[in-house]
Amino acid sequence: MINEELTQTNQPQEIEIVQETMEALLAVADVSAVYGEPIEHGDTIIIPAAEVLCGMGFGLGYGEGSESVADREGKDTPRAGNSGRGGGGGGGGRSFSRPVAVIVAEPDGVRVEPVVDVTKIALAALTAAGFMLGMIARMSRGEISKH
Amino acid sequence: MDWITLETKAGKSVTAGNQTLTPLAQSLHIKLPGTRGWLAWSRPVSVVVQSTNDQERVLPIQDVTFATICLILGAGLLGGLLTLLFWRHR
Repeated sequence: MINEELTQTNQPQEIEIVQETMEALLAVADVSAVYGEPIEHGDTIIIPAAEVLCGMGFGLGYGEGSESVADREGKDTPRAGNSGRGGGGGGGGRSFSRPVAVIVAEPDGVRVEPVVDVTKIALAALTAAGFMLGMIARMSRGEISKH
Repeated sequence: MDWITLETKAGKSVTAGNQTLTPLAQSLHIKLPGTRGWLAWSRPVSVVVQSTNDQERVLPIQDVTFATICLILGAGLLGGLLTLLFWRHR
């Protein structure tokens, strides 16, 4: 009876704690994570800007085994005393950050310099070219019907 | 809809010479209903530059890499579809 009460009261509380922690972690992926600390170099101030993506999730489970027939009937058999309870949980997350631009503040003005990731662009171009070539090859082999 | 929120927030202002820079960021929070999972996406939007003579300028921050990738993949997809259409009507 006490165990049942504990299970019923602890479960939502634990979920709430994990939920609050997760929400606090997600709040980190906010403006403070997007803009880095300003870097001063002489009269120039540089502020790095990045895109931040963060995802996470968790799950909790509880279970309680019912009293065995042997327990209920008070028999001393190998199956007696088999009832019990247990719980488990797990969670995971991933965060990803990518530089987008750099804000340069100089005495004569402010400008935004974009950060171009040539590797990613080249990979996208290769993917698109591969898709096109693959389609042309399939068409020339007759794998794609004309109708 | 409280499971999806989109908001624009201002970051810490920085003073550089006679101008004050306020960076703005946009965040998208998704909490899938019925699950215990979250997704947060934040990106820089613009910088508000305020001069001492009360002039305000907004400098947009463009994600050149993302835009270029979208353009290339879109062109590849469109090119593939056009080739298929051309092939079928030949």
